[in-house]
Amino acid sequence: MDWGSLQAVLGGVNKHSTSIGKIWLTVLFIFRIMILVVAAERVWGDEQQDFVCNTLQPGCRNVCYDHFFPVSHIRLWALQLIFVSTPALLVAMHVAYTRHEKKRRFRNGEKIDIEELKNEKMHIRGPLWWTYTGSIFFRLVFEAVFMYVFYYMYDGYQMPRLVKCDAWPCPNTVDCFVSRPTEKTTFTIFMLAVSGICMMLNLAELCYLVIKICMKESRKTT
Amino acid sequence: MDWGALHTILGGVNKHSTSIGKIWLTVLFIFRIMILVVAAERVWGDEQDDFVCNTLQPGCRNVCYDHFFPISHIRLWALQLIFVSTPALLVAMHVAYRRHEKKRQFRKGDQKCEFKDIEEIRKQRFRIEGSLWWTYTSSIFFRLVFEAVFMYAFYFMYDGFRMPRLMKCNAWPCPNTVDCFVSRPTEKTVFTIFMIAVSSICILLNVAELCYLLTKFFLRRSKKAGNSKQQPNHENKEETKQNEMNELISDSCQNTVIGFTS
Repeated sequence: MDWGSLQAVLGGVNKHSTSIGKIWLTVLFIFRIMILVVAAERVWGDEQQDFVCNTLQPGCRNVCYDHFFPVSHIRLWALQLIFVSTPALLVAMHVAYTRHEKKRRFRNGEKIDIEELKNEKMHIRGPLWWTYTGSIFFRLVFEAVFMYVFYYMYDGYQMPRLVKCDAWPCPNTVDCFVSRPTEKTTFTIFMLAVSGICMMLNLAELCYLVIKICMKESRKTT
Repeated sequence: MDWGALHTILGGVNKHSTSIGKIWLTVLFIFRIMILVVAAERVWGDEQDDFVCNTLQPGCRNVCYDHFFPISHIRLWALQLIFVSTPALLVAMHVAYRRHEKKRQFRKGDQKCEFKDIEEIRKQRFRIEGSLWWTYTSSIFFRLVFEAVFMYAFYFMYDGFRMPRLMKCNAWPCPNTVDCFVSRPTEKTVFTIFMIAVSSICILLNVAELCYLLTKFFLRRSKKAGNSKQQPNHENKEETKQNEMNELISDSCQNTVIGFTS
């Protein structure tokens, strides 16, 4: 089970999304997951190996690394991407349930074409609208939470070159140097920017769905 | 999600490209992405491990490496390839939208075009005309812009395309000035020049494709203007428009059938 399997799972959801939803999915896979796998994982690959402290004291480097990097950026991004992709599965489950109900009615004797049922694109109305909107809302919440966690854990989005550490067993205060800080800062800002773009797409999709339902309601009343 | 997945996504776009576009896609995958994955990543693999400075001062090597290589070549190339491939998705989205519209028309029972079933619509190859022409041309334009921007960023960041053997560093905490030696500088220079050369070939292919599309567009317009002049003067504007529309519809129907069978 890896990013490829996630792509297979979410590809199925794509069929029932709005156009903005499809764009969001493309941005997620190409500009976030792909960049993570192809580039960012190499940049952070040697983060502990090349984390160097100006001391010969055994254990000081380990302790300082653990103190300044409680959860690595790469792992945080992987968690963020998984959590952000998951609400789409609610929609997939709802669609599967609706199809199952239709098949059941077909078996009970109603005249529905079973092949067409499998390929049918469901319109986002009724309870599916609530599921879909709920999934977008959760996506937004997860994105915001992770962006805040990032900011809180690393005091901003810039990776410093030097961190001063005085955790035991380091003698007094010790200078520790981070590996590839500029490249890491660049990728952090890039991932943050794409995260912001994804949040805006989700907001746009939410507004679109809400406006659509309001217009439908006003048409019914007139 | 890796280069293989990108290959799958872009493979779908290939069907609706011009011949030059297909050549461009092949050059991209074989001479750029494959070279990156199979060769360049190994050359740059030990770039920080074997970046050696003439000092025992802890932290000096890290700081000097970070100062001279703010973003590694490999990452810049990976970003360049992703950004350059992405405009093709605009074309894919436009084609998907058109197919969706045709499917909707088919389901409503429109008799304008004779399609046997929905499978034919799925396999139909769209000609690059009308709004698709504008989408395709802008995607080529964006590709050119991204290529140029990344080549400039490379040149600006590394002061040219040559990898020096020795770098003199005096960033804190290095004591005074320290000599630092880069790992595999000649091999890196060779690969940098190779990637720049292939990038330029891709730019030339894109420019050629843009010129081809523009030429085709102007020829088609002059042909239409020529046809409309030959028609008798007493035909009014609406009849001319109707004739053009009928021509276009029957033309596109014929071409879609031909496209499907070929």
